[in-house]
Amino acid sequence: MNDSQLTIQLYSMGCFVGEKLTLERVAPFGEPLIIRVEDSFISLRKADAKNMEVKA
Amino acid sequence: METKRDKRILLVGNPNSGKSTLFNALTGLNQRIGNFPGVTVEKKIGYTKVDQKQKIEIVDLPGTYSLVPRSEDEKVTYDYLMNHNRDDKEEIIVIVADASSLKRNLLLVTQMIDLEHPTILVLNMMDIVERNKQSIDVKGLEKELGVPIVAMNARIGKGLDQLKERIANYTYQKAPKIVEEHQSKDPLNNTVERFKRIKSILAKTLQSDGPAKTAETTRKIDQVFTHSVWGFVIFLFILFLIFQAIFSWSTYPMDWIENGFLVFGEFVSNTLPEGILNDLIVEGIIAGLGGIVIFIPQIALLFMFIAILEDTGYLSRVSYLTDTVLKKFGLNGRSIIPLLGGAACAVPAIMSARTISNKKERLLTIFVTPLISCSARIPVYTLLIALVIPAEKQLYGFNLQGVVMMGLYLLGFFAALGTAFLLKYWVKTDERSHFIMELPIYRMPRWKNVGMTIYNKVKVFLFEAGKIIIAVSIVLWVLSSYGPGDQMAKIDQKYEKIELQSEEDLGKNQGQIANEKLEASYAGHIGKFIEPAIKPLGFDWKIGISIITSFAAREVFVGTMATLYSVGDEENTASIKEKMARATNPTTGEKIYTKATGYSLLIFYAFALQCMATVAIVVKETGGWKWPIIQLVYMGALAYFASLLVFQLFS
Repeated sequence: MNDSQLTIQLYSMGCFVGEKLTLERVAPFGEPLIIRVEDSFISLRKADAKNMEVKA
Repeated sequence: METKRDKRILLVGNPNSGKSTLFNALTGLNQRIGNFPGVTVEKKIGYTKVDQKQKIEIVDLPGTYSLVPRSEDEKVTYDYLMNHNRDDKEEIIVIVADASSLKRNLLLVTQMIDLEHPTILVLNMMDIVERNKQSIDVKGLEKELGVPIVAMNARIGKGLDQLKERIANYTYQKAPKIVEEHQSKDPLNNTVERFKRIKSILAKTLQSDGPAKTAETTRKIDQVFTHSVWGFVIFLFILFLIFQAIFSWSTYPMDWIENGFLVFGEFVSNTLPEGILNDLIVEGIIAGLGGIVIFIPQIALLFMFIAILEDTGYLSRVSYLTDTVLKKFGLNGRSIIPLLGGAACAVPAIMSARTISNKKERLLTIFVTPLISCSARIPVYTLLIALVIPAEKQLYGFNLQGVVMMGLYLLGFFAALGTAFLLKYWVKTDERSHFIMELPIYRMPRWKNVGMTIYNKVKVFLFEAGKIIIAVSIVLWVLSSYGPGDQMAKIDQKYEKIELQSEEDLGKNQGQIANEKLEASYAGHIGKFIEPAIKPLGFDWKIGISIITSFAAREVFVGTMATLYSVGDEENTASIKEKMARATNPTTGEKIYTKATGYSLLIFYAFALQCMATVAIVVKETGGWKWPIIQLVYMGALAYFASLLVFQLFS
């Protein structure tokens, strides 16, 4: 997957621009993460999450 | 009169949208799964009656998040949808969307609508929408999207009749495109445009009242199930429970089946006129099949547990928990699903590796999955363990038979990890590794789905394996009943000359005659030919024959043993286990199935790739013979040398 495919993948799972993200959980050794977008939970590695820009 | 074209329904939808539930609700038992080699189709096909006259075909395509294919699995769906020249059937796409997370599901929906195929949208899981105090304006949504919509709860079959009616009376009306292609050709821009449109559509049609209740419940459960400590403890506990269940609950039905086949065999033997046909049916086919049918309870239980774990949404949590560990071995959190599934059967497990998008990780997963002890090994393990380990023997309070069984599974698992670790340095890739996975909300298992899975898997096991076993049994019976030249006749002549003194001698002689005849038969010659190669592992020529026939499938071992030890046993009263336990070396008089031979044989079956079906699926999934051949040689060598080591250690 290239960056644009990765972005589409995250979009299609609901991580879209302007959505509210919550970090729910971090697995032992720092990876993967569980984030919540609306009412969906998504598990992903840090490397896959780093393309997301989050505003506090 | 106008003749109506036959219809075909293509089911499309996001993963976890309830697509398979709908498929099962529509087709019932009227379905077939083409996931067994020989018929390696990756799709489920079923039939349903939509009204008095129309019986239509339904194809269940693999779940996908969008029409931009990312993994092999999604590509299957994409290619199928893009191919218009199958036949002249009228195709209607039924998109299944999870109404409780509509925004996300509408991405695929709008992409599908813009393909301008005949389309019906199913809004599934309306019960959850209700429970979460949301409401969807279905009529309004229908107008915005331009396609007919059916609101459903596929779990309880609510809305099924409306869907059938819509299908029966479907006429295509062209809907305006939701995102014009000239607006944005680039897939990323296109997706952005789409979400803008979806947001504006949903602003008009969806009302919600705070965060969803179901998501809150899931969050609470996950605080335990994905916990850094408790999560792992629970996972191991569940695995332990599954083991216990498979090996203790199943003993009763297994005993019934075993006794049933013995009675049946005797009955047939006494009813049919004596002769070759009688021998073939009783000693070949019934003995061979009985050796297999007995394992249906264990296999059904194993598939039941895996189906439940998957259906409740728990398996994706296991992927989350194991990703970091598996990554170190060149695998991926997603690999745990094939690896667990491999405990049931490597063939569907290897197919499920398609969801791994990274080619190297997928290849490694495919390569090591057959090392996981599958259900076909259960018959072999059970028979051999019972043969060499007394049932009453304990190890620190645990039943030793159970401990050895568990040990074999662990051995397979660690061999799989170790192999992946070695292979990691050998296979090169520039591709980045990803792990992005949805954790669906927890739900009660759909018992009907679970039942359907068990039914389908057992059916495939019974018929596909049964076919091979009957064929092998017949060939084997012929090979072991006839021999080259006049060797067999000479044995008869030899014993005719010996006058019989007593009843006791008669029995003894018959056993001896049978054994000598088997040795003189074609099968005996083959076994004797390979005996030198396997002697260092503690195997005799009879085991040699079994190893050869096991290359069709491992479970054939039991059937082969049953046939080899039944030939000439006219009474046919003892079970295979009893016969094998009695077997002795005719020259030395020592028992054949000693501890050393038993352990060595167990190890051999744990490691060797003796399964044509697996080889066939690996050829297909890796796109060539290179990897299956490497796999065959690697696992064969591993089996040979590990068995050699074990036999030398124990003898």
